Amino acid sequence: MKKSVAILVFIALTSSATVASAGSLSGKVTAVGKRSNADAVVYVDTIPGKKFEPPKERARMDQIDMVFTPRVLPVVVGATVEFNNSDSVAHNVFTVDDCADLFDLGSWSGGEAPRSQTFDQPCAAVILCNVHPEMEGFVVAVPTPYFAVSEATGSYTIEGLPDGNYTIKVWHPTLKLLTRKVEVKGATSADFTLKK
Amino acid sequence: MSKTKCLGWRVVLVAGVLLAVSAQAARAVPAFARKYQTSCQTCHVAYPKLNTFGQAFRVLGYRMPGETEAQVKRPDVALGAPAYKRAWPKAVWPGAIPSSVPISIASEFLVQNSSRLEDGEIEKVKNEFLFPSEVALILAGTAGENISYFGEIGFSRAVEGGVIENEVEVEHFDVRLVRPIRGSIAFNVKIGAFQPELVSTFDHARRLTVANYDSMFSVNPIGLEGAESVGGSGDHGGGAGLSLPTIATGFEFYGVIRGRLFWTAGLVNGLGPGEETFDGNSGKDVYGRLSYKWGGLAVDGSNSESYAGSSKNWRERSFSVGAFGYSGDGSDLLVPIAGEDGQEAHAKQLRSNASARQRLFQTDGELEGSFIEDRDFTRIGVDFNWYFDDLNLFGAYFRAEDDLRVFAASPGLGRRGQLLPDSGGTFNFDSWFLEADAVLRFPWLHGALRYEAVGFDNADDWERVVCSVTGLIRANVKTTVEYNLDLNNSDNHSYWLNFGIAF
Repeated sequence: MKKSVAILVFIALTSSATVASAGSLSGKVTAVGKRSNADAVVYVDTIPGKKFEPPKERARMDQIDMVFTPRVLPVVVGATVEFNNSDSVAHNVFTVDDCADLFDLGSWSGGEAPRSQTFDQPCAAVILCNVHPEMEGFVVAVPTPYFAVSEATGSYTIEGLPDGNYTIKVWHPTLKLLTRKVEVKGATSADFTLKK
Repeated sequence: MSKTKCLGWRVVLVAGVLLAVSAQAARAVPAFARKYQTSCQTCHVAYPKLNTFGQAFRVLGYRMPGETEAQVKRPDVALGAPAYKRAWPKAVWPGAIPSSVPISIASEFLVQNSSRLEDGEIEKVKNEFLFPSEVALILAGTAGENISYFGEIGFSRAVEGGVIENEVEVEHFDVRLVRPIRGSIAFNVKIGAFQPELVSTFDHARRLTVANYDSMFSVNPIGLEGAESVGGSGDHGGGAGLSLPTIATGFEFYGVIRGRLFWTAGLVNGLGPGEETFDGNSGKDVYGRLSYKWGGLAVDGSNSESYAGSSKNWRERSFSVGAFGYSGDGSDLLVPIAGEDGQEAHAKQLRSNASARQRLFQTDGELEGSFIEDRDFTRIGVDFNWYFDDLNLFGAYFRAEDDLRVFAASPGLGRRGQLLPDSGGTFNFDSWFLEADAVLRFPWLHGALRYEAVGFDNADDWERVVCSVTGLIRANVKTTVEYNLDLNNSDNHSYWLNFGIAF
């Protein structure tokens, strides 16, 4: 019994040590003039010499109570996003962005199988429903798996980011894209202010 | 009494009658206070008089200078995601509607004591409680990023000879396209019945006093010889004078260039041939105004981030000067001269029958009454607006020329087609006023002192002094004590106690 506890403690210590060495980037995004600081995507831009495979698991954007949920969904370039309809009314999913090939998944009822779309190039694609024109979501396809979406308070955290110098980009649905160089060393903090 | 004196009195009376019934306009818009969760005093010195921030807010189509999403505490309901702009024309351009019904209510209660000289008799009114004298439903808001609207439905009461006269009226309603071209405030469009920017320096709807600017809006040359007042959707007083329009119907274009230069031009309906009538001929009236402001907050508020201003938001040191002109076409509008049998019926026939009008001009038949026509008229003037801390001094002057013709059945009034009242066929007058508004020591206490005058080439002049004190009981509740006196006849005067609320 004592031996197995010791093994578990060892495993826990070593695994946490691995995470700590990878570092993280966290901080606050301020969206000037906005009611909320939410929905900014903070991500690491292309890292020279590194290419990231998209995850095998599909990302998911749902339509619940006539709202795209989550409203902003960052994915790695090449990822496939599954669009679901959890409502009792029909929805449609399409985009007006060329970088997402102007896809239109058509309309389908709640309870039907989800429909999917692959985002194979960097893109901030607006997601619309032509049945309910007020609905709006965004799929942001970025070159690396290091990204986070800010909360209403503006806080964000990118975990598992190796130490190094990166180009950080901060995208927002209505504010200007922000680009800044950041050196990550362990748990690193960086705040960003977005303006119109 | 000489002929010229008689003419003068008639003109004055038109103004006097109007004065008694023109309850104070109450054009504050509490719907905006709800939308932005802000006080009336953000935009008003003492409602409905605007401070310079409120003036910029109005010019911007009821949006704050540099407005951000966070400033709008009750955001509009989107009628489409913004990205639908990119889908247009394959999708409907996204709009918005207010999250709450954009209606405000303003009401005025008036106690009136007045003395009026009319046809040689003095009519006195004492302790007349007009409770309420006016209740107005004000509709104002934005409908998406480039569209605004502003309207008012008024329920007003007046007393004439002890008889209550109730009136319900859509006083004005307009839709405006704001920044329709590349987001620039240099060009905007109003469509509808609106308070024209032509008179925005002395806008009757945003005055501090109960008394209107009668020298600007209520002199009626057609009222000479006792002809009835003119109306028309141009609403040169709404059946009152035709000096300058309080409300104009048609198109207005306006804009602000480089924050300081304001321009406007209008193409609007003109006179109707009688009270409560619409544009009576195919001709349209046109107007224009150009003004420039030095110092203070820019006209469009574009320097609001860098302009520190004063800690008192009504204070400013600035000076504006403007020049304006109005040209009207009243041809073929024959206004009956009162006091002759059958002339009303004949006038009605003439209004609806072009050939009957032609016969009047071309044949020698007997006329069934006498008529007056204002073939064309022009108003050319200047205005200024000076802010110096707690003082706001402003005024305007214009020269008016009316090409009047009288078609008379009675020899006493002249022959058919004879031009009266002078041989040149024109009737000229000069109108001007000067007003000093001031914050009197406390931000809730305001004073106004106005002198206004009308000088007639062929009649006695008219002069009036208005003295007014307004106290804000709350930001949206006020009371006004006011006295006005005809300086040429002390029998014409009024005391008013006004109480107003807007919510």
